[in-house]
Amino acid sequence: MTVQTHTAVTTEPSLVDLLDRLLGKGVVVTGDVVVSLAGVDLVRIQLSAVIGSVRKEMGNL
Amino acid sequence: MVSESGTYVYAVGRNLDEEVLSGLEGVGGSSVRMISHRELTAVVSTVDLEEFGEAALRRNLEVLAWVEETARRHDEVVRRAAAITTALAPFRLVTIYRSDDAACDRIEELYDDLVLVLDRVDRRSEWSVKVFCRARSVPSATVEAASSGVAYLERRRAEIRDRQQAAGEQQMLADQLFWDLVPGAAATRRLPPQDQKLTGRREPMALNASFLVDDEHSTDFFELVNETRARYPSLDIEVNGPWPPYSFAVLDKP
Repeated sequence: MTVQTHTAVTTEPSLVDLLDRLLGKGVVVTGDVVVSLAGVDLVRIQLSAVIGSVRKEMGNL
Repeated sequence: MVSESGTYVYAVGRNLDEEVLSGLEGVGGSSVRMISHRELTAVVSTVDLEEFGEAALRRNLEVLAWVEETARRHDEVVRRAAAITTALAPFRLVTIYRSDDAACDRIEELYDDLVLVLDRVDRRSEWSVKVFCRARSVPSATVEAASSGVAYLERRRAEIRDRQQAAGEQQMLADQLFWDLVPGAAATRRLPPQDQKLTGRREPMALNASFLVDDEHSTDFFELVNETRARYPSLDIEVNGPWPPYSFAVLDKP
């Protein structure tokens, strides 16, 4: 949807914004593992949280 | 060994017409389909547990390219589904069940909460509002020659104190701004501010919030945002959306 106001920008969401929402935890920076994507230093997501929620769902089978 | 498969759930919604999504590719490449339970419909696809099983996920979630591809595909499917219904509850990334039956059992378990969530998000969308502190020009007083070590240290201390105070004030303003926008939304959620390394901006993020806004009142919400722009000239406000109501479909049930 294009919004007819300069207030909103409609571009492809950034990965961080997306993961903020899809993981429901927020994206955090931890010093231990840094992943590089297209030359930009990105920092690893809160994997323990992801894995925790995955496990919870898998455990419910 | 024959590889096992699982059922990946993207979202649960009402009044979803399977025809519209037919041919859409899901995560891992297989087609998106729908399964019904009572009056609810789950948007799902079959995934190979060689890629999406617990052990594989543990590995794959460490690979940023995999995470990005999966997240973008998940988002695409959710957005396509959101476009054909007013009430959709997106699920978290990589929510996988052993089978369609297991997914339906879970939906039955969550039924009451799902109905509440669907009522909450019906005819509403999520808007992201991020606030950055504008960079301030540094006073040129630091240029003058240090007369003595003591004077230098005192000046350094004063600078640090000023900077901390300024950051505190900016944070307070960003908090006020958040509350100014609350009346324009049906629900709100604050996410942790993103690290500067992730935003790639020089200015720190003071607010990372999501607002669930009535679709028919979104223009009013933008007006409210524009008013705050004028009221808080030291803050840079970034609005992004509409998003499917990811932040407002949270079922925090064990």
